[in-house]
Amino acid sequence: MSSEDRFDSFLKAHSRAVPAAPKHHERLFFARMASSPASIETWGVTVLGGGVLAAAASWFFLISPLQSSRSTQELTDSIQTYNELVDDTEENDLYEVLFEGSATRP
Amino acid sequence: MARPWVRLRGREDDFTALYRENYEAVRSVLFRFQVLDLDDLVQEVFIKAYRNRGAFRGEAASRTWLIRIAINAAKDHLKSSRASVKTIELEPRHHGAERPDSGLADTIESCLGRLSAAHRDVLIVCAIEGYSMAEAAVILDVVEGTVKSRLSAARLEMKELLKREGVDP
Repeated sequence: MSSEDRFDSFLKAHSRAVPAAPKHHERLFFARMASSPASIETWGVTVLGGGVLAAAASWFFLISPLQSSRSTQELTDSIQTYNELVDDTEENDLYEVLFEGSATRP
Repeated sequence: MARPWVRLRGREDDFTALYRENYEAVRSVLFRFQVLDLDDLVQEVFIKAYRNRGAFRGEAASRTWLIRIAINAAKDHLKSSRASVKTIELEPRHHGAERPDSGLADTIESCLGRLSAAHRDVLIVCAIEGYSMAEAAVILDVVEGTVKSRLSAARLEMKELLKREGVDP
């Protein structure tokens, strides 16, 4: 046995012995696991999933129809305005209306 | 309750088996770091291991992986409770199993506490807990050559400290 091994053996032999493990440590550990990380994971997934679902449902049922109707309404208004302009404007002036502010005339 | 499962080394292992096989080893190494709330920290180590089971790549044995987690947890714990640790150093622990030469055990603990962190870690892992240099390299996240040189220097420093305390190993 080398002097290094002898020194290691000395340290090991004379170090304080590890105290006895608490009774039922395994049961206590798995009870703690059940009460914290597993639950947190489950609740995390549930809350996150629920949140995503609620957001998707809100968009589908509320925002999307509103946007859709608003877009349709805006398009209708634009066409109507355009038609009114075309009706009320001479052909030569139409370019002015359509390209208002533009330096180049196509 | 249903017991959790963990995939290690490409196969399904019962986490309960992992806990049972490594409980004593994890507890022993944490005890050497003189942490407060030893059993609470043992539980935290296994909870961390369970949460980080995806990070285990199977390149090392599950025990060295767990001991690495344990040592990191012990260091974090010591950092966060430095004031309490000082109290422990002044008042030797009495909850360990008593031996006729508990005075010598106190001296060894005290000297270990005075080593640099790198020397203390390698001495605990290799000399006291008996892990090989290859295992210690994985546990301490250094190359094997570093373990060897650190261990040699740590032994010399520890011998010197013990001699100053009147102990001739």
